[in-house]
Amino acid sequence: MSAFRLAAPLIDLAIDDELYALDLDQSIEDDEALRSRLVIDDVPSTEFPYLRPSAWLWYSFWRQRHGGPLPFSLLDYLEKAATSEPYRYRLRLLVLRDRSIQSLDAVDRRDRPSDAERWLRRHINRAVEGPLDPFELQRHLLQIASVASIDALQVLLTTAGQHVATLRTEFLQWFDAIGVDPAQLGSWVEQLSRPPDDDRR
Amino acid sequence: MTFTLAMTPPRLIDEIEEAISVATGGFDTIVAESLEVGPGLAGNRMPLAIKYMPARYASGYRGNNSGLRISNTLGFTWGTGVYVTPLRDPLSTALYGRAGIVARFDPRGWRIFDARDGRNRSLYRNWLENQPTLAAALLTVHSNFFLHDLRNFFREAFRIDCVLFHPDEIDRLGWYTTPADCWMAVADWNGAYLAEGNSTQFTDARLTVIVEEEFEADVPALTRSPYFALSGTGPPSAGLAGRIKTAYAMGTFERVGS
Repeated sequence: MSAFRLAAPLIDLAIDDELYALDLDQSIEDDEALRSRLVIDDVPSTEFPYLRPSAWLWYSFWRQRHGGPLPFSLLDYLEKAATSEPYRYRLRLLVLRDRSIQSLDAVDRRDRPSDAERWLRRHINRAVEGPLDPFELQRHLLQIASVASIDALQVLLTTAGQHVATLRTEFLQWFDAIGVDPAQLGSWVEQLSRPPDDDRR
Repeated sequence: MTFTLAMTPPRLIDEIEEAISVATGGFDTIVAESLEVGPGLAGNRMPLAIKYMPARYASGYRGNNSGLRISNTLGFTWGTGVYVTPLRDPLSTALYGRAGIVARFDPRGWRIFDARDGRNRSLYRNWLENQPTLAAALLTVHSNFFLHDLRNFFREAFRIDCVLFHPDEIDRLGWYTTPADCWMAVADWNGAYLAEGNSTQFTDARLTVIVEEEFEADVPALTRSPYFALSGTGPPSAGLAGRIKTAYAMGTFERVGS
């Protein structure tokens, strides 16, 4: 029987109740085969119906915490279901804090992009070309504020076509309101406005 | 380049750092009042904390165990962390379960944010004002998602190991929890981020307190009421912390009547 069909009721309970989450943790500590199927293996699309998209997103964080790789088969499915801002925000947080992105520097990520990096590039493109909102993405990237998210912001700010000028203006206004030193702010804008490939020079 | 602190006005950074510096000194009194009775295995007296949980989950703490669990669901006041009270306030969170798990902790080097102080709460609100997702946190139905993460980001940005705060949930009769109690949200770290799973900040966790009373969240869940209240008054608190310390040292149990 499907591991997810078995685990789905417990995953649903664990989302809102940390004591059920303890049961879920215990279940994979006691059963190595189950751990492999829930934490390590990719998730076949045939399993998707067993949980709602928001539960899959919670599961993806749970799996990440247990040292598993991002379930790439799920990411596009999760993105399609992301009809609310907090959902999109948490999906971005999931990817931008994943160790497969954090462990490489920006140049390595571009030269040898991981699956997460490739998904992120596609995600940014969907903000540049639609249907995602590039301004919301910029706010989320700033909020997450990891090295990878700032690199992603650089990609956004240099590829956003008709939105580039407005995004930069919003960025400048944001930090100006905070009172960031103008010289420092100028340096950031100059760096973030440079096409990412220029960093290798 | 990192923008984690760049979104905070420099003066506010200084004020928050100052608050952390002052709070760390002020925590010493609480630690002193929560010290165990005798030296532990390491030879020094460590402060004790207590966490209450339903009996179902406590039996595992009678022997070797993997420690206290880091709470990460949305309902926790200061975000992801281990929620305990110093043993100085031994019954303050008994409304969450009948089983009191006592554990040692070592606060040396901790960076502490004392949210019991209204000035510090104002600093946090000032910090919030500059966060890119604040509008979504205030103006949408999904406030709890964003606010949970913002608390975590604040603690990560300033590498705060422990937030002290007054109870924001009190038993309906006020017999177990008092507004002046001190609750702690303690961080574990995974690099620059808050960790989840089992905490390494607390050691030698052991079931030590068994409370006769049991509570249920009222509807709506603004209070928690006791099922029994058998004696018609709260449990005697005089000397309780000392008896719990002794029970922990002796490997026995302290039973608290309803």
